[in-house]
Parts: sequence; structure tokens; C-alpha cells
Amino acid sequence: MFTEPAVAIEFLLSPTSLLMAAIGSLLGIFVGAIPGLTGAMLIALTLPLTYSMPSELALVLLVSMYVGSVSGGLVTATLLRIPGTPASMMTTLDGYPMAQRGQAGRALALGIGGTFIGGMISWGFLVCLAQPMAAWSLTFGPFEFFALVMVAMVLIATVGGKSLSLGLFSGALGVMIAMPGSSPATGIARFTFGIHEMDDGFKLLPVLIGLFAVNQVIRQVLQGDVGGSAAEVNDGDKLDFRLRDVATHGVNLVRSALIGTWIGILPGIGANVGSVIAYSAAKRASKTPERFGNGSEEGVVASETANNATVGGALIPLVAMGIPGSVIDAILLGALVIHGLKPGPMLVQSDPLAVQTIVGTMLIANLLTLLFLLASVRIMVRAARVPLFVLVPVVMIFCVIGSYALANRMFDVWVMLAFGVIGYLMERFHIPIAPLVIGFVLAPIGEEHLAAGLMQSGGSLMPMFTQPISLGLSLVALGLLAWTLWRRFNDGKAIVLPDESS
Amino acid sequence: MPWLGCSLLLLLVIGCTDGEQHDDAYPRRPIKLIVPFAAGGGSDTFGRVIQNAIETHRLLPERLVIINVPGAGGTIGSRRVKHARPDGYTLLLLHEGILTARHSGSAAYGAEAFVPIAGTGNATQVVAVRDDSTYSDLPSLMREASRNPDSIVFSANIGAPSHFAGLMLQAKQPGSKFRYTQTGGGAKRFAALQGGHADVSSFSIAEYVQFKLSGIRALALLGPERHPDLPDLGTAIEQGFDVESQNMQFWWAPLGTPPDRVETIADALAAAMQTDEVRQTLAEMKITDTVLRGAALEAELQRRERRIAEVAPSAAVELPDFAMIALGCLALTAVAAFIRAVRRRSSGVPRPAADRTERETSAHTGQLAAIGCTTVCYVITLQFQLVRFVPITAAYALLIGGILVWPLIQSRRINATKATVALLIVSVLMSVVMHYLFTEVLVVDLP
Repeated sequence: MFTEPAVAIEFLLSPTSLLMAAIGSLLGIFVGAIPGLTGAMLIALTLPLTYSMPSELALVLLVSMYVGSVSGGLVTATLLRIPGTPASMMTTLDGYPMAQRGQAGRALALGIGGTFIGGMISWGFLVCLAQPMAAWSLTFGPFEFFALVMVAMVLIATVGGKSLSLGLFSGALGVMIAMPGSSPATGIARFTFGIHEMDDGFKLLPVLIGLFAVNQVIRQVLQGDVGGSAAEVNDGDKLDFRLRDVATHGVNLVRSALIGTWIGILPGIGANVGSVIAYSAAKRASKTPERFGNGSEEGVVASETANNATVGGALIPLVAMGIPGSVIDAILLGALVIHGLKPGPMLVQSDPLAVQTIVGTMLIANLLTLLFLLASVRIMVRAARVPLFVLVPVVMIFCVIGSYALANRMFDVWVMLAFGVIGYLMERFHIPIAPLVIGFVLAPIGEEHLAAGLMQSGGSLMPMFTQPISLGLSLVALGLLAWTLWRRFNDGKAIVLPDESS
Repeated sequence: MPWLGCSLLLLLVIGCTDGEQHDDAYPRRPIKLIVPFAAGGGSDTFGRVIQNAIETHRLLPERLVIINVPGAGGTIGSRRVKHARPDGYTLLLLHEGILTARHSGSAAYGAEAFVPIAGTGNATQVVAVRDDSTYSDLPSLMREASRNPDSIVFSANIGAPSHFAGLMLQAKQPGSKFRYTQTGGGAKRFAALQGGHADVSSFSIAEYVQFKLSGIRALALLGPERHPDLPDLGTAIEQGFDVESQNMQFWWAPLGTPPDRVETIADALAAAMQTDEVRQTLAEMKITDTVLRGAALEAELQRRERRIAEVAPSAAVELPDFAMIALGCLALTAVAAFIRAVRRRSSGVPRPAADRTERETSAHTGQLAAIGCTTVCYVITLQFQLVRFVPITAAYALLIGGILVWPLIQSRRINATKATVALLIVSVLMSVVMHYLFTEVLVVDLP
């Protein structure tokens, strides 16, 4: 891949391209931190501005925006319990409780560190293994995807918190919430009750903002103390990321980065699912699973490592075969075409500089994002210290604009408010929110692929068990389910009352 | 309460400055173009190319603002334009999906619900197979499809032009039938062919040229004549199948829009299509620079409508009713959770986690109710655009901040002046700065 790396390095280190990378990462972080603004939106709007630029420079700008936008979401997720992008939703589960305990700086530092290491590991895969991994990912057909979703779905049973039945109920509720709107397989609307605004169902972002941010506003107002602040900062100003953490969280970091990279490679499954699976896997492997959801360091690390690792993963099929692995990659592909490059397996030969620019920019953008985030942690933590009577209007207006901006319609705002109330009621009755989110994210993907598989096989489920990969994944799903249930019933006390046993 | 006074004053001052001008000149303010797909997609890119040309060459005296209203295969956005005021300030850019939507059952209306302004650009489709496929041309594929109906897997985006391309082909070969499977966009269909999960699919020329080197081979071009970039590829008509599938971008206005305004827009679009940069970009995207308007456009729409209506899609495989299964699971888990709750209560297990409810005094409940009502009023005001975004948002921020801080000021825990200043800063920041950021920088259409 690197036949003439000197030219690329010289270009990437020139002041112009470094400036572009800096602008791109900063804007990306900014957009990622604000709910409702997505990286895809930013890149799509920037694309026309790059028409007049040299193609390599345009790539530097766009790729660094991509990297920045996936990283920025962790800031608002941790400090305000608003997932800036859906990919940071798992971070809110543990980052925010940490911030409330006065460890905002620590949570951010762990998230930032995870982001960086996840990005670097997936970058390593992009450099070394792009070709074979992209080829292998093609063997994944509809049934393989469905089996993969099943593996992830089974994890609902593990992240459910203290009660298995409430966790499963929450998961089923999430699946149900995904049902109204156009069927992902046939496009026919269902459960819309004749309301045309419902034709597209409930979108992910309004639901998430409602469940986390509005719910949080309701709780804080009810708790009173509006003169105080959202996050009590004790040692929060200190940027608390030690080298020792790399050792402590080493396994978690590597595992989450691998999961993220792999999920990123598969087309159509984005950063959201990557962080969900990595989070659940981290919880399963953890020595202290009961802390997940109450401010577990491992949870923050797993979520942020994986969602950033999907960036490198998703670039692999783009660079190696010209297949975009995510929405943003599809826009990047469009950018390549508009700039007269021909994406595909021949791109490496026909235009090595473009490939090296993409790969090199990912490295530079990761470093720059790390720098920017580290430099601003102190200010960000201070920002979370503003009194509640100032914070609540800010958060509410962000929630309203953010939901609206997603598709320019007020319906999403109402959905967001309704889910705020639903989220509050759920927590009031001790129903965990995480399984709902997982069910809601995975159900449409699973349904689409199962339907596609059935359409392809003429209605038979057999290929699911005759093809080796889907059979293997199905067995993994079954095994995980059986093991979880067994542990729940035999070992239940140890999980329900962890504080007493330890 | 000073807060109420303050916010009302703000509302009055800023709200009244907006006077509507009534005049025959058109356009007098920016025109909204609804693109019913997400930013970054094919339609969005096309719209932005044209928008760019209109702005750089000043083809319209006012700006053309692109607003993405994605969802449900374009019907969320098209329905909004259908119900918009027919004054020429809300337009729709929607390709052949407007014709296929009704026949695939995702919308109850079609082209007749709008005034067509123009049809621009034509992206021809090709039928393609994997490189090592045994089918050498279209007739050999269709012979096999009629010899063994329902065995060749056709990867499509169900209900979209790629699906209709297959349906039109099989309609021309008696007894033939493809087995359609839902895959999605062009890149996913390519991956399905490459991975051996499907046998045949259709792509736009741009997609085909992009993926060709990675190992797919076109059997036929679904256009009236050969394409200059693919001179060796025969059309379906040459090979004995009278099938054409070309995706054209159509521009629409709500029914009742004055004809002279439709003409103004059509003129600007035609001029934009003739500019060098548009022609160059379209050539790279393998889209022709055709412009249809007036009678020619009506005729073309009717021709396409006929072709599509001929091949109403048959139901695919009987799919399980996923929604009902989900409902069943929900009911089952709800029962389980309920039983568990009852058993816990009766066995006297203490409720988990110390309840925070003790701290929730009635005063706080009152505050919450007030904030809830204010928020609902705020959203309703935005929804019906009673007041412009900036004043209502500033008022909203002041009000809920005021509700929260009022008891503190009364109990003298917070200095009133300090709180007022803080809230004023926040309300101005959140309204004016957010408005600027979203509308000017990010082109979101705030109410």
C-alpha cells in the first residue's frame, strides 16, 4: 500500500493540510458534541465547498471531520447525559454517574484515552489487513447478519441490571418501539394509526435524547437544589489519565477496539452497534459487572474505544474495495468520484496518493482530536459546573433544536419530549433503560436481514443452520443465553446483592 | 414576576418587526427546496449541484435553500410539500420514487398531487451479474428465469427503481420470475453480488462504472440508446426486451401554484443545467443533462407512469409478521415482570435502592409542572410558527430559568441581579447564536 510514502508524508505534514486537518477535527468534535448535528450532516454540507480544492486536501478535511465527529459525543454524554451522537449512548450510562460522583475529569480522560486507542488500533488494521478483511466481510450474507444481531440481542439479558424479568421487558419494549413506521424489508407502513408523521417511525436520536437528557432534567428539577450544579466536581479539574490505566484496561481496550473495527467493516451496521456490543462484552468479562450503569470505568472505556474503532473499520472496505461501510463513507465515496478518482480495488494502484492521504489523515486526525479534547477538558468540566437554573434552559433548548434539526420536523420534538417522560417513569419503577436502547437499535437491523434472508431462500430458515458462519454465530447466541440464564438462576444472589458478598 | 414582564417585552419587541410583504414580484424571499432524503445521498448531491449553479450565476434573485426531510422512502418530505401553501416558496425535488411509491403501496398519491416544474438529468440503469456468472447476455438470463422461475435471486431495493427494473424485465419474458430480496442501496447490492448472496441486480451507470473493476459485468443497458462511456454494452431493446429504466430528478410544486412562478423556476433550472460546472459534474456522475418542461414533461411522466403501472409488484415470500411477534414478546415479558413484582411484594423483599422520592417535595412538583407546561407551549408555538424562533426561544429560556430560580431569590439564597444577568446572557446566547449557527452555517430550517 505504501509504495511511495515519502510524497504522502511530505504532503500531509505541509502547513496547509495540517491546518485542514485541525479545522476538520475541531468542527467534527463540535458537531459531535451537539445533539442533532451529525458528522454525516457536516460532511455532506462541506462537500460542495471542497469542489474547488485539490482532491487530497478535500480528503484531509473530510476524513478529519469524520474522526472528530465520532469523538465529540462523549463530552455531552458524560457531562450532561445528552448523547451528542447516538454512538455515545452507552457512554452516558457510565460517564454521567461518574461525573455526578465528582469524577467528571476522570470519566472524560478515560473516554478520550479510549477514543484515541480505539482509533489507533483500528488504524493499524486499516494499514495492515485492509485487503483480506474486506474480502472476508463479503461472505456475510443476510443470515449471517441476522445471527450476529441475535448474538448482540442476547446481551440484553446481561446488561439488564438487577432484575432479569425487568431487563427483558425493557428490551422487548425497545423492540416494540422500533416497529411503527416503514417496515425495513418492504417499505410498507405499519402501526402508524393513520398518522402520516408516524410513517417513518421513531428516529433514534429523539428517542435517545428524550430517554437520557429530558429524563435527567425532570429528575433534577424534582430533586430541587437548583442553585447547585449537575456535576459535583471535586477532583474533576484534574485530567486523570495515568499510564497505569493502559495496563488496567488493556484487555478491555483491545477487545473493544477489535469489536469496533469488525462491526465497522460490516456494511450498514454503524458505530452505535459497535459500542453496544463492546459495552456488553466488557460487562460480561468484567470482575465487577454490577458497577456497569452506575459509573463503571470499564463501561466508558469500552463504549468510547469501540465507537471510534468503527471509523477505521468502516474505511477498510472503502479503501480496499470501494464499498462504503457507513453513511459517512458513502459521502466520502461520492467525494472521491466528484474529484475524479475511481474508487474500487484498483484505487491503490491508480491513485496511491489518495489512499495514503485517507490513511495518513486518520492518524493525524486522531492525534489532533486527542490534543484538542485534552486541552479543553478543563473548560468543559467547568462548563458543567454552572448552576441548574442556567443549565436546564440550555439543555432543553438543545434538546428541542437537536431533535428538530435531524429531519426538519416538529414531530421528532414531540417524540423526544414523550420519551423524556417515559424514561423518567421507567427509572422511577426501576426498569433499566439500557436494554430498551439495545432492542430499539438492533430490531430494525435484525428484521431487515432476516426478511432479506427469507426472501432470498424462498421462505426457508434452513440456510441459517447450513452455512458455517451463521451456524457458528447462532450457537454462540444460544450458548450465551443458556449461560446467562444458568448464572442468573444459580448464582442470582451474588449478582443481586453484590455489596454484601464482596 | 419580573421574569414574565421581561420575556413578554422581548417577545413583543422582536416579534412585531416581521411584517409580511405582499407583492406580485416573485421570488421576494428565499425559496425552500425540500429534498426528501438525508444529506449526502444521490438526490441531495444533485440538488446541491443545481443550487450551487443557481447561486453562483445569480439565476434567481433569491436563495434556494435545501432542506432535508428524510424518511419513509421520500414520502415524509413529499407529503409536507403536498400540504404546503402553493405560493412557489416550497418546492420538492423527488425522482421516480414519486411514481413507484404508490404502486409499491407506500403512498396513496402520485405525480397527480403536484404541479411538475421540470425533469432534469437522466441516470440510466444497467442489469449486472458477477464477473464469473454463466449468463453472457440478457436473453440467456431471461431464458433461465423462465425455465426455472423463482430461482434466480434478484437483489433490489424493494419498491424502488432497482426493483421495478427487474419487474419490467420479467414482464417481457412470459413465464419468467425472479426471486427478489431486499438489500438496499447500490453499494449493498454490489456487496451482495460479490459475496454470492444474489445472482443479478441493477445499478445506475455511475455505480456500475465505480464497481466494474471490482468484479461485476453488465448484461444490458436499460436506456433508449448506448451510452458513450460504455459503447460495447447493448441496450435491452437491442437484445429484444422493450424495457427502459432511467431515473430522472423531477422538480415539483404544490397543486395550485401560479403558472408564472412555475415558469420562473423552470427557467432558472434550465439555465443552471446549461452552466459549465453543472455539465461537468453531471458528466462525472454519468447523468445526462436533459431538461424536460411543459408538454414534453407531461408526456414523459405519463409514459413512465404507464410503464410502472404495468408491473405492479407481486407479494414476495410470505414474511412473518415481525410487529406482531414483537408485540407478543412485549406482552409475555410484561406478564413476567408483573408476576415477579407481585411475588417480591408478597414475599416481603425490601424495595431495591433507597428512594429519592422523599426529597421530592410538592414545591418541586409544582416547578416541574410549570416547566412542563411552558415547554409544551413553546413547542406548540414553534410548530404553528406563531412567533419567530429567536424571540420565543429567548422568552422560553427566561421563563423556565425564572421558574427555577424564583424560590431561591425569594429565600435570598441567590442575588437577584446576578441571576437576572446570567439568565439574560443565556437566553440571548441560546436564541440568537443558535439561530445563526443552525440557519446560516448549517442550513437547518428553524421555524
